[in-house]
Amino acid sequence: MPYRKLISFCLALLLCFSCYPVIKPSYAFADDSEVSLDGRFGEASNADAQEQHEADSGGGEAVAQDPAAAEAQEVEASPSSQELATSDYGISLATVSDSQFNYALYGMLSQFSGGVSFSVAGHTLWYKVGSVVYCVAALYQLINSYLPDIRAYTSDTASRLSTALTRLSNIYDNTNLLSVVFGNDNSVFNTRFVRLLVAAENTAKYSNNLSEVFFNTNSVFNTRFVRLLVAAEGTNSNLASFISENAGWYVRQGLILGAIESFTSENAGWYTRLGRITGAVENLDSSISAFTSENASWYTRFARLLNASEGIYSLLSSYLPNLSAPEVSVSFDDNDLGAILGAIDGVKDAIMLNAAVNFVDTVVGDFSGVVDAVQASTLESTMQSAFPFCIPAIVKQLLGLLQSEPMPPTFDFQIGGEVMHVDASQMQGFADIVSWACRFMFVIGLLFASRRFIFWEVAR
Amino acid sequence: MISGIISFLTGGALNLLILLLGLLPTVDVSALPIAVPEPVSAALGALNWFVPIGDLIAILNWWVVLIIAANVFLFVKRLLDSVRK
Repeated sequence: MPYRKLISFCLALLLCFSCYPVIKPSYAFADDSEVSLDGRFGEASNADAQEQHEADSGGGEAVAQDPAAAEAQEVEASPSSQELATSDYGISLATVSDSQFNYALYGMLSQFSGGVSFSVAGHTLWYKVGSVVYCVAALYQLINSYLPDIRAYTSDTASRLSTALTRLSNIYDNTNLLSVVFGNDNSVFNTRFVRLLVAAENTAKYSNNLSEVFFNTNSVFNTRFVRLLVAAEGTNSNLASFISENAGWYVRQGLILGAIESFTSENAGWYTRLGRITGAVENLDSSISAFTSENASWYTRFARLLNASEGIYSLLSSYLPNLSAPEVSVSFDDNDLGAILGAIDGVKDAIMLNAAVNFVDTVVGDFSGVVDAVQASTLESTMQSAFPFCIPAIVKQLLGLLQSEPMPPTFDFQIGGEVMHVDASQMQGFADIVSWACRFMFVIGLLFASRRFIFWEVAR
Repeated sequence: MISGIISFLTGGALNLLILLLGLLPTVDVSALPIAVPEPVSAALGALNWFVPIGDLIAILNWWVVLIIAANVFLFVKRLLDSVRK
């Protein structure tokens, strides 16, 4: 930073010397005006100038004694700044506020020892030196006022340059991407192009296949066509052989005709068999006639059978008078009768019980579904949320907050830098006694409290 | 038949009771902002070792059910006595 200030100072000094003739006429100080080192203008010899300046600056003393307050006070239409704005260089200097101008002028005057008043008239050298110092201070203020913008512009330029470099990098990456897509042998484009070429080659190959299939002598088409022709010739020869007298078909037809002829001849096998059947029928007829004639053996045998039946009947008739009702004495033991009667009573009771059960089922019905489960659950949830019936539910929830997995308490004490570990798990017996005592006392307490929660008096 | 009549009467009474309970102000027990602080919950295991809070809650549930049953029984009995008179 010191280098920057030094360079700025040198540039400002150079500019001031080069521009001094331009800005010199714009100064409002007259040659005969007195300038006091404490910042008062024309206090001794030029009262009009003093009044004018005081009217413009709102109090020169305040400006001279307190530069910060002078900056806060806005000086409108300062003659010096207006005149400065008439020159080209003054246009840029006019951007410096009047308060900064006054502060710079005070700074210029304070370069000399304070409290010494002098007149510009007759002190041209001091006037020039003061003007140069003023210009240096004004330019330094001007540069300082522009420095934030320069910094911001530089930062913005750097960010834009970074963005441009990023985009260039992206373009370079995209270039790589293009090379990946189009340039390499294994790129997507080349792969697809190779496939296209392979497809074209296959198409050309198919063209060759067409010529091989249809136009070559040994082509598939020609081969099959030749086979077709051969088959046609074979068919022709088969037809010829079919039609000729020596053909197999003709021979078979002849065999069939011979078979028919042998079937119709008298000496044929079937004719002989038919004759046998006819003979058998004739024999059957003779057998029937023999069976039905009075002298037939069948009739004789039936007569014998009837005689035998008559003999059997006569025998039975001779025995029937001897048959009479048998004398049977039936005696039951009382125990057997009791058992039988008991069994009969059991059957009767079972029948009655079954009938009674059916009757009760019909009249009374099933009480298991008297209270609807849905209604009961609805009533329960409603009671748990309706005040004041929700109080037991709240008490239950509050007690539930205290419910936890029972664990014996353990403690660690720091005694003299040593840790003393106390584990109450050895007191399991005592804890059981306490827990059962709690249960017992809780039940006793509820029994005593129950009377207060019975809201209906017992009839006496 | 009798069970059907009783079921009808019980269902009507339960519906009437649910209707009356619906007229009462409701309190969402589960939404109550009550929670045990962390140091207390750490010491609850030791408390439950001596005082079986889970068993006490179960006993309290049974007691509440018995109290409700006794109140319902006495109410019905008083209703029947008033009808006889």
